[in-house]
Amino acid sequence: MKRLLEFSNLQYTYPGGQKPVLNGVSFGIPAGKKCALLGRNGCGKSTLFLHANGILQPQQGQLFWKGTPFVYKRSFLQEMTQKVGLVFQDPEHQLIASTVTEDISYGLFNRKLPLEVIREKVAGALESFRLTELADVPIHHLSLGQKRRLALAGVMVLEPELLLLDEPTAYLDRYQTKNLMRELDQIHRSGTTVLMATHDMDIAFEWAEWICVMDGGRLVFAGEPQEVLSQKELLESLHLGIPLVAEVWELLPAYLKNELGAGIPQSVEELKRRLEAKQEVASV
Amino acid sequence: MNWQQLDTLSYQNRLRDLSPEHKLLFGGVLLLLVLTGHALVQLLVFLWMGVWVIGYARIPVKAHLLFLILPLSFFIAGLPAILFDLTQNRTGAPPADAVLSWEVGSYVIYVGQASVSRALELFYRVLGSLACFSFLLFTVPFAEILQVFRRIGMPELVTDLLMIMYRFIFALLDASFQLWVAQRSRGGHRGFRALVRDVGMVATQLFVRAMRKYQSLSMGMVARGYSDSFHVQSLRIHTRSPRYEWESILGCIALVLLECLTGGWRF
Repeated sequence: MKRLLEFSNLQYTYPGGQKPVLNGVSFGIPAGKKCALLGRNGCGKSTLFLHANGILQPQQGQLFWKGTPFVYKRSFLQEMTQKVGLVFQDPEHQLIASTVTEDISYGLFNRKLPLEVIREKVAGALESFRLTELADVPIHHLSLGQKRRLALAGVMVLEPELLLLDEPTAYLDRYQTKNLMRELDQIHRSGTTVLMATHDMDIAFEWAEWICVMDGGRLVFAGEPQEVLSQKELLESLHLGIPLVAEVWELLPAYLKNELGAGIPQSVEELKRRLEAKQEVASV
Repeated sequence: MNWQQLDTLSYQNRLRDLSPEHKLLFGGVLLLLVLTGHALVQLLVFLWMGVWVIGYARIPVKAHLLFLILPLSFFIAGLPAILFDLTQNRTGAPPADAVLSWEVGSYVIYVGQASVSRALELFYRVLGSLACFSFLLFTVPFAEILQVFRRIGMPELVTDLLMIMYRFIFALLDASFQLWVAQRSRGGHRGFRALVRDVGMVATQLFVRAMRKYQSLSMGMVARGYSDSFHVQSLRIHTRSPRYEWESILGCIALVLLECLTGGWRF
């Protein structure tokens, strides 16, 4: 499997902090996949993300972008912020300009693109993130969901190769969460690798193709979603819980599970589909 | 009226689509006229601006009046210093040009004819210029004022600072409102002493939070590739309205001519 970004034995303690936040994290982000980073609050997910685009420098360990190690020089870091898009948990922290359009154009101006290209790209981003109607609205008039969408648009307009999202579904209602996941799917289809940090097992299991689990500043598991569920004790010991659909699956009688096919369904929709398919077979 | 409302109105007024340069130029010319002209022209500008703000831009009358009254209160607070004079009472009669006078011991406090006309002159000037500002602030959103500043070559440092300030005024207001509500809902603000203490707490907390926010924001800016300066651009396309352009140009010419006839302007 090709690794886009690789962390190797990262250690980091915040200035004045008591314990290391990252305590030897090593793993690689597989290129072209939808990935989820699971972990409880305070396990070091956000700190890891700040390392991934070079904002923080590890006190020990190294990072590799497509095999080449990070160099902590201005020009290299400038390039990394363009290749790795980071969406913060609190959109207030990355929205800077005063209106929606201006804010999207901010990152493009930092890349020193010609004005016509910027206009074109901003217009495209407004459209694909459904912000056209809000184009000239000041940022403090937006709702949280809209601010999140704008933060995502501002990052995606730079066409990063890797998109990192820190708890993107926090405080969003179901409808907005669904919209966000659909947008992430679209971003992934257009060729961007996506890594989302979350503590929501249901979302991670339904959406991701590759899951890694962090605890206490280190990586405890990485692999396919189905493999994660086979490590039930691990998940329980971390108090992450298992997805609802997996729990329901456990309750089904053994013969039904056999008939419905191998593997735990990834979402309620998939379980529904399998049940319907089975009923059709039975009625024939 | 709070700032949030002013901001919202400036984004929703009927003249929003007109080019901000034209509006700023128009407001600026009238402001100049008010500052250099005389009472009649100032009063006319005040009324005409009222027509633009309330009639054309459809800003609620209440908002326009409130905007005028708030700064006018500063003028009123300064009035006593302009109006009242104090002299020693030597002759026993009030000074020659006094309109009103009171004897206090061996002193006379009086309101002179000259001070009254000075106060009136000032009043008309304040009224006229406030109306111009009301027009500018209600019809041109702040972000567009900034755009114009950038285009006419205002130093980048100034426009960047203004942009960040504008963004954070609202973030700060929001944060202080949240703290205020939190205190209220947790039983704070009981009695005057507690109120003062709680307000102090809001102020310190705001400072601490602002510093923390500053830290996360600078990270956010680096993550978005901040290098040396802010550059942003709005894509809005402004329309032109011949009707408004003619009215503003003809009106300005008429006012200038009037000032030449009645005031002291001579060419």
